Amino acid sequence: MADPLAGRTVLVIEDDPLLLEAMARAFLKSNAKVLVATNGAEGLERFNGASPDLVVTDIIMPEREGIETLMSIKAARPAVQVLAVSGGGHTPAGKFLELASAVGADAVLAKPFRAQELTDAARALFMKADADGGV
Amino acid sequence: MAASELAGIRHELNNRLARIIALAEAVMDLVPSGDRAGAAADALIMQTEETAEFVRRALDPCS
Repeated sequence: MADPLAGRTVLVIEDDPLLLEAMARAFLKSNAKVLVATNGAEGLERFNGASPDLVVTDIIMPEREGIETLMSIKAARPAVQVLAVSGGGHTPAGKFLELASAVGADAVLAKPFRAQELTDAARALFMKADADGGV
Repeated sequence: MAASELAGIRHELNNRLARIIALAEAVMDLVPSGDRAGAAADALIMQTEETAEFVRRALDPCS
């Protein structure tokens, strides 16, 4: 069975350079095309210029918060798959990820996670979307 | 300590733990399968995940 990630274009938005590189590497190993951005504003620029199949975005970042970025992305293209990641934040535990779901994230993943967990979550999104007749 | 301060600490801790896992996985990518360095990196990842669980249990009730 073909890897659901192979050939997909994935945009990773993460302000931590080490985590950004690790996430990008995970998707590259799955033969996806990877675009990267270090903040929400840059992420939106990349999104508008490349029409990725999947956006992985951190929720707490400088410049433009991830929730705001997520809402802009979903407003522009509701069918795009969005996976929100976060280590928590300035609200009670899990609330940022709950908020991400509420504003349109298709899946959420709490930090820390292994690369395999990230790519498995992305694969599950594409498999569900394909089963639903989307993406 | 205020709840928002604890939440900020948890966020920073989880990001730091995520970096440790990312670095350990980078090591695993560099060494041959079965190498002792790979086993050590895997053990480091498991210890980090246990620490993340401890952080979650220790800080979540206070948030």
